[in-house]
Amino acid sequence: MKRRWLALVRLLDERERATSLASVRLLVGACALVDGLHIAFRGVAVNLWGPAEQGGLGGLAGSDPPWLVASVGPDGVLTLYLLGAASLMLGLVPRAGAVCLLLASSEMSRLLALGDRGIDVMIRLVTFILLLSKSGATLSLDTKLRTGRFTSAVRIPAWPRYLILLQLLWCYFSAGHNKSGEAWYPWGGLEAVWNVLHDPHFSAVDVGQNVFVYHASQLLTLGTILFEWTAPLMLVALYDARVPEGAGRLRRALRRLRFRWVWMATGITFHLGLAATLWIGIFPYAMLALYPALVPPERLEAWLPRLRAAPAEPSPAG
Amino acid sequence: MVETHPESPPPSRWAHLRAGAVAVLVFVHLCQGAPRPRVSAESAAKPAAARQIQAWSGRLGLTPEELRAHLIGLSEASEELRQAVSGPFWKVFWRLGFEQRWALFSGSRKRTWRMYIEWRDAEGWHLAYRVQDPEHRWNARQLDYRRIRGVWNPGADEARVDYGRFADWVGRRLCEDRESAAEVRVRFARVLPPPPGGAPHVEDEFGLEARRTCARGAAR
Repeated sequence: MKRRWLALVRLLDERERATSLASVRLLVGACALVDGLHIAFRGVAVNLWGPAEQGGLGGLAGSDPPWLVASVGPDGVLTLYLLGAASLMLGLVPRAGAVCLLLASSEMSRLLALGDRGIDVMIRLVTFILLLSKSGATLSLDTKLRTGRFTSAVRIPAWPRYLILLQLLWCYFSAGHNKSGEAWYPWGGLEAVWNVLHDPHFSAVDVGQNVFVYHASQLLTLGTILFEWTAPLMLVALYDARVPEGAGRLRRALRRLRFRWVWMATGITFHLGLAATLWIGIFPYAMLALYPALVPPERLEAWLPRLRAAPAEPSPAG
Repeated sequence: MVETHPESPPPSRWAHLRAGAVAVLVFVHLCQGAPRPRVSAESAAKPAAARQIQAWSGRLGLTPEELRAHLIGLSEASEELRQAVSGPFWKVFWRLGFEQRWALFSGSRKRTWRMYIEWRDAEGWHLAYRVQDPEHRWNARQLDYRRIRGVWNPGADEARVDYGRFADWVGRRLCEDRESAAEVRVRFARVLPPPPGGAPHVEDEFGLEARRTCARGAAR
């Protein structure tokens, strides 16, 4: 027990380059910014969070509005949301940005709970982790102002990336075990994707009655369930990539299947497919924004050399 | 590479504290979202649930009544446990809008809906907005936005809890925009996915209708 506890303490005490975490910060900030700009350009801030007398749907009928919207109004909450998202994306005082985004988004969720979708919850959860991290250590304006370069080889605590990784995998696994509809399973005909593609409130494509598409959608239904249910195996595969020694049968099988990369490629394809076929807003993009957390920074820098920083600098204090 | 310290001095007290805090955080979040049955007497009586209970009771060698009682008991016990563990953190979860139970297209219903928004004058009913109808796009910039869709898109066979407020909102705005409008209604057509190779579904069954009367430019 003591040995395991020490292993956990050491794992959470690790440091690594900031590239992966900073990429998550930048991409999540960008998604939230695009979403906030959508609200601004569509002119729906008051409709979403204003009281009925101003033409709004929000306002928590029968109770006083939360303090933030009472103080600054729906447009003020949106401004805070936009500022927070921009600050995260640019890496300009990102911790302050995370506080703004978290405050504004949680206020929005309380004002109109039905308007708060799963992806908004995910953005809040990840923003909370980013708030506790040093995600602004590279790919940020802060770094540019401090060192004259956008990138930095500074090493930061790795545990926030591990938490985001865990959050992402949990989201998929939870989505898998919460799929209660028969249509997701063979005994329900594996028709879930077919049904969603014909739901006028979500579908962005007209697939008609094509028999080939029907059978392809059955395969996609099965693929979705397998992808979500196997998310915990990513933890095993990631562990195996760090500690290749002493691998048992499961780890060897996952290695042979190149499970890590196949699973990630499936996830990316899955979300791009959702973006192409369904009207579900920022969901696919914001989920993909978390994928850099699955990749160690050195690997990410090898793929995208422009993210690589020049020589190592001493770690920031604190 | 990550920096590990296999042979370095023991981790600092701060490292232990941080690991403890992270472990508690993860445990509480997992408890909040852990899979557990959510069966009540009311939900077990719904046709789809009753069908499932009937099917599974045969496989498990129980009577449907026994299985229903087991499921309800298990649901209540797991809810008590969840509340005991995550209860102290409930306010933080609520304040920050955190949730760890992810239900993404969990039901994928065969019978879905398509929203119609209409107004009536002396000549009869006119269509103002219909989902996925390029000819009828009244207020579409707002109605199509994902957060507003969350308010009007029916979850299953019932309207969302804020549907009444949504109908008030639509009524007020449409009455203002159409000076001759006497009444506004929001309703949903039943949509069934076509069988592969079959004929498309005809939208001739409506439900979840809400009407608002216009008076002096505003709906009641």
